Amino acid sequence: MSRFWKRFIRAGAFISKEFNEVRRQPRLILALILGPFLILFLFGIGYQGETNNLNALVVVPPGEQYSRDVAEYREMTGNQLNVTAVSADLNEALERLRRREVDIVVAVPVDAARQISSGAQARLPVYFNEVDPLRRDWITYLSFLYTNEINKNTVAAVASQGQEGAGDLRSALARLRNSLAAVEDRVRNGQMQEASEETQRMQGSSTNVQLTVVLLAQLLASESAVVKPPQSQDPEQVNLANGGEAAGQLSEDLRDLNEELNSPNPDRARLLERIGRVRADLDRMDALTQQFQSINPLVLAAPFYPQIENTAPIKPSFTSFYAPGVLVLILQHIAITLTALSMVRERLLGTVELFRVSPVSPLEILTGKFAGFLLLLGGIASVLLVMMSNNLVIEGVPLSLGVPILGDWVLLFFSIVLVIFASASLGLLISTISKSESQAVQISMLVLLASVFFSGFFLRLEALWWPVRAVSYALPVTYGVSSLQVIMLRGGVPSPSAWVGDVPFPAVLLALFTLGLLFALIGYLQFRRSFKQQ
Amino acid sequence: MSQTPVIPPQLQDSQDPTKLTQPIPAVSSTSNARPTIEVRSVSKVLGGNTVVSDLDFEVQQGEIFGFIGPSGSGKTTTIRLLTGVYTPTTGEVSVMGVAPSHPSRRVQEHFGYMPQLFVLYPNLTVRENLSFVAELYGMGRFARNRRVKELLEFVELYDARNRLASDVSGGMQRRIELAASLLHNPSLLFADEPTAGIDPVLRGKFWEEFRRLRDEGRTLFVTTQYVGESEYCDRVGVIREGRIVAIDTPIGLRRRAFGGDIVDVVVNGLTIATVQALEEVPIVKYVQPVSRNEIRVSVGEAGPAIPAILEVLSAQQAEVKRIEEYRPNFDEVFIQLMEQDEAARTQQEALGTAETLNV
Repeated sequence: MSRFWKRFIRAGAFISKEFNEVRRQPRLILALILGPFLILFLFGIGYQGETNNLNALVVVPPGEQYSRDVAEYREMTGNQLNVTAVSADLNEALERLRRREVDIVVAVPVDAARQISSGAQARLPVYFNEVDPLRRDWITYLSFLYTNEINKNTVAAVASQGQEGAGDLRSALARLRNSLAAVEDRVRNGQMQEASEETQRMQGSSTNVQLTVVLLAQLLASESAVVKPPQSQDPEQVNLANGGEAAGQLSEDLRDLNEELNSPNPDRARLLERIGRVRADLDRMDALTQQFQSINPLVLAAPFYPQIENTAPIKPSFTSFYAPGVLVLILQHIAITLTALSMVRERLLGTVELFRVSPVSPLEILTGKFAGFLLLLGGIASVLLVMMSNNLVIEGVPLSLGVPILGDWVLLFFSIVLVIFASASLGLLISTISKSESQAVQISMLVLLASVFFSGFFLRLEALWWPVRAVSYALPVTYGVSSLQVIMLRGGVPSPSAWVGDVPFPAVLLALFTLGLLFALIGYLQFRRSFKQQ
Repeated sequence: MSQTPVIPPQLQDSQDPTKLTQPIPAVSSTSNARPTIEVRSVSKVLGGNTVVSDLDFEVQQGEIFGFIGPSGSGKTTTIRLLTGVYTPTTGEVSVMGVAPSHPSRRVQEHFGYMPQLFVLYPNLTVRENLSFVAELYGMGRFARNRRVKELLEFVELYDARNRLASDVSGGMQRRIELAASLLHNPSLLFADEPTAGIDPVLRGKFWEEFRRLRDEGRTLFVTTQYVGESEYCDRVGVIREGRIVAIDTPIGLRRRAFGGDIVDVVVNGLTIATVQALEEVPIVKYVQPVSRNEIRVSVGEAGPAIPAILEVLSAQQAEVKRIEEYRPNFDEVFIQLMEQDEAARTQQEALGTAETLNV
């Protein structure tokens, strides 16, 4: 038998040995396969999204004109805030907040109308008692959201009142039109003196109308820093521009008309032309006013609304989103624990002494063990993937999670293999610093804890201070979570990607391989050193 | 020492030690072949303590070398030095021509090792454990299965082959270890207390197998606490407190312990003159009266001494009722050697103290 083939037999000894050892522990197999699935399954049926329903208490001080009807506030706040009561006593409300009977206390502004009319913003105090940073941020955000909503409704109410006022403006414009018709009649009858007097009256009464229309035109055509109206030929835009100009033009045209009427020899044709110009001014101002009245007050208060569209290929549930991460996390943990325990156990059992005397080399031992764990965990991962992805329903009870796998199976396969390889390498490294099985387990648990916090499984990596991110990049699970989420949920290639020949080669997987190789090399050198003679 | 592997000619060339070989002719321990094991002035210090010191011996190919000593005397350390688990602190070890601390895989394929403690896997069955060890030596499936079956039958564990190693007795675990060490037909077997915890019948069978292996030309280095097992060895090294007290054949050890052979004589009419006449015989070292009619005569070798003794007794007209060589058991030999060593050391220490005082 060739020496080359003997190497395979020697390495193979460890593959069958590891398999047989695990096979002898049915509870372990059950825990390895069913455990992760059950965790995800329970998470899937148990998780109900963010618990954002906050119990709120509204404080309306005595004498204020606000409503004290809880149902009215509930209708106003929708699902996010659950208004439980309306109180008149702020101190009592704050005491209930301290006892955590309610989540938020909202005190309506005292004498808001007076504050606003005097040019100041009315204060809307919101109190909460929260140590959870996520909930704290959520309540702060919600406070701004509701304040904006109140502001919008307030502006809409004001706009509505303005629209009602615009009716008076149109009446004033109609009176001006009647006066202009009277001027025209006088001119046609040659009564220039009377026409001039009527024109002067029009000049006097048009000032307020002009000012109102100019303001209205500016309001409707205002340019904000964020939104600039396009320089288009849209008829409505032209109306706005014309209306504003007409208001400025009216006094000039009335003055020209009056000057012609008071000239020594007023020209009749010129007078009629100038009367026509004034009429055109009044028509344009009326059109602008009519346009203002036709606009919905809510549009005036909130001209923009978001049109939200998620361009992701699918909209996974919480369970589906977290499933790839859980799979990688569990694979990493099992690989680390199995490898570390296996290596430590060899040392404690004394089998290393047997290996030293036999022709087996440290490299053959590690190759065999790694191959064994790769096959074992690969099998577990395959079973878990099938259980996760299929929609198996028995008698109406869903027994799987329906997690989508949109991407390339080959990439998925390589990602899982690399996660197992890198994790087993980390386990090997842990075994070299562990003196006992309990030490190996403890260190493995620490790695699991670090993985939950630093891998991007729950918190995005961007949220971590960059030096701390070094911990993230030292964990195989970080690359695994990112790769599997991209492959399974986006159907893509883990980025950043580079091209090697015609084959897209995902750099994330290359990084994972490099990390695994580094761990394996250090672990191998340490193991070889301990393998040598004392 | 040369670093060229010295593999028995019978096992060289294309011969694979993991293949089932035909019995190979025994090589005499007195042949001129280079020793399979050479140990020269070897000491080992572990954790600041000198565990063994000045070990100096060699083991020829085709002999059973027994290593006997009380618990903690350094037997396991010596075996670990020979197998390459330990590197000597001082001195040199050569096994099959190479230093075991820098072994070649080719040489290691010829090593068989039975550790003192059970070091196999409790979660594997008896058969799986043996298969695992066979695979470590690169044995193919066919040869492996056949050899495992053979050895399971030899150690009488075939019926227990599917039991977990954790579920068998300590004695059975020793038998698994022995079978594991013999799987690949090693040409050099290191067995650390192989018969500890084994019943006397099976112990005899073990030694029978060892002698059979020896007869095939294989070399065995066996440690034991059972002094009586010295008799099964070709040569025996006695170790005490990390130092070798004596190395000899079993008969040689007995003579060394008692200054020669012992002849017990029962006579009628034993007189002082008779005893004095015996003491004057050049071959006789001393005569020790045991009872009124019985004496114990220490001689160089019993064979030629008995006729000479009979001649003297006849001349003295003493009626000989019985005369025979007395073979003290090895427990007695061992105790004697230990006591002699203790006395020698005490004397040496006393001399050392005296010299120091003189200085």
